[in-house]
Amino acid sequence: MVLISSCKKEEALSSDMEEQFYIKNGNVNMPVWIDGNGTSKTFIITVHGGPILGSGNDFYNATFAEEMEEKYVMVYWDQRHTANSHGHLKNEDLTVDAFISDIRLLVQTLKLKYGDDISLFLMGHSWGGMLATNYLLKESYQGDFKGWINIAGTPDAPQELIESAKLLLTISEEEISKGNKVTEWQDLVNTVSEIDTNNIDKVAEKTLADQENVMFDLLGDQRYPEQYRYKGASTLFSPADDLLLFSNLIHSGSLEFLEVVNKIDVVDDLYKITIPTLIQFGKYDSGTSPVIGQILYDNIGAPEKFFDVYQHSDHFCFTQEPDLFLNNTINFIETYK
Amino acid sequence: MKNLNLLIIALFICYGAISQESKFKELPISVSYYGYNAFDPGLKIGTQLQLKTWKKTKRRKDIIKHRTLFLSPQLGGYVNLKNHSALLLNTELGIETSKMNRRFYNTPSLGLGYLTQFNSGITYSLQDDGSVKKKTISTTGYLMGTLNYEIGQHITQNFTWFTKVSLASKLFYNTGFSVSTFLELGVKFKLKR
Repeated sequence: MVLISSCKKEEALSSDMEEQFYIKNGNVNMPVWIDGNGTSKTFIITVHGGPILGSGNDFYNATFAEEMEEKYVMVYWDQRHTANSHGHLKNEDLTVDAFISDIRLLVQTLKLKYGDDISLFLMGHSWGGMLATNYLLKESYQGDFKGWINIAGTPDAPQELIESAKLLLTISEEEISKGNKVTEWQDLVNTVSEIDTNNIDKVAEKTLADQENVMFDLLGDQRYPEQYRYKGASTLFSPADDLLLFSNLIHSGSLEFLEVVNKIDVVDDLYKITIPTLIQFGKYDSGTSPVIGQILYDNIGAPEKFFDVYQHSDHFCFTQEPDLFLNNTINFIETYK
Repeated sequence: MKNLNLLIIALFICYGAISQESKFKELPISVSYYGYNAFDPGLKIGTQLQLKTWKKTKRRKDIIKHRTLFLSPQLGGYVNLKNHSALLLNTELGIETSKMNRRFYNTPSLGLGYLTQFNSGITYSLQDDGSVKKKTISTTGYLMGTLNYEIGQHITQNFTWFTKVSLASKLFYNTGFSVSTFLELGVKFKLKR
């Protein structure tokens, strides 16, 4: 076994890069895939959703990814305890700080491999957006990035369910005022109105999730065209492994960590984030309402910040309105790279 | 390196056990395609030590079934090009059942093995001082249990084909265990000693 100390030689950047390697933090091995145009010297580090149930594949298989790879280098990776990441972990290895440390290691590794002069952007979705927010608040870590793209990632998890109830009511009232399926929408309003938003317990949480599905059924193709419905990442010919993806869910550490994540609230610290920021939320995302995006936009300290609400998307605007998403994202990166 | 040493030592122990067991005069050798989740290719070799054979007769139907309790030491490996490769030292304990005068058989078995997983590509590892070091080979070892079901056909006394599906679980994997599947397709032939 060969152990080589920190390498000073940087690796070549080509227009058609396709590489794979691992990063290892303590006992945790995390696979990383690099795809794209290295001559741009612009690297987009994707931070997938979850936690636990997610994979770098969520971005890797997304329709917008291929076009992004023609212009930039996309960096896909499986976070600790997800998909193909592996190792001997204890429950206490699942902390937000540990995930932050993993991103830090990835940043260090990319600079070690490709040089200090590469431009880095951070792109996080859902939990990945939340994790990226926490990362950027840590020490001086945001200094490594030219900008960040938050896709439906909340800075305030406890507020999510409250806004979820409000969004269901808002959408319902909007549809009722248009005269669409009035009886059905009114039933939804009646059900959601019974929830005490000051005390949302597990039963209420389940009711909200059920009513979200009712809302999707009632909206039909109004939400977004059928071909863009998110069906989960296809894994047959990709690096992910569905069985591993789901078996991670039943681990004891997963449930404990989810409880921790559901309490994260960093709104009061958002003023510390000063790098250019693009926030992208879906109008029909009752899990992470656009109101959450507005809270993020209002509170971050970045002088250059942008907030887009996709009018036909829910939680996955990057797959549900890929053309618009691509256009907005490329414009942002081109401006600040 | 520790894992590789363990593998080598275990192989020698297996070989020694087989060599010293005089009552096993004919050892079948099995060679099979060993597909991780069916499609990631691999190879497995092994043998089968018969521990006990007996017959069971179903009187009403006048059917005689042959049963053989066996232990099967195996060495296998596979490659997942996009992610990892692995070496496995494994033992299965199973019961082969076939009807008298019929060549088809089926075999449920349980396995326990030691799997060494090799990360694909270079592994960049965070050091205690905050620096990053790169390793060309980085491995992690797992105990792996399997639940297997094999069917096959004895073409001749010395030649058999078989296929086997396995549900496998790496233990102490992340904060629990993993779930994977394997598909085998292979042949067994006997070497006279």
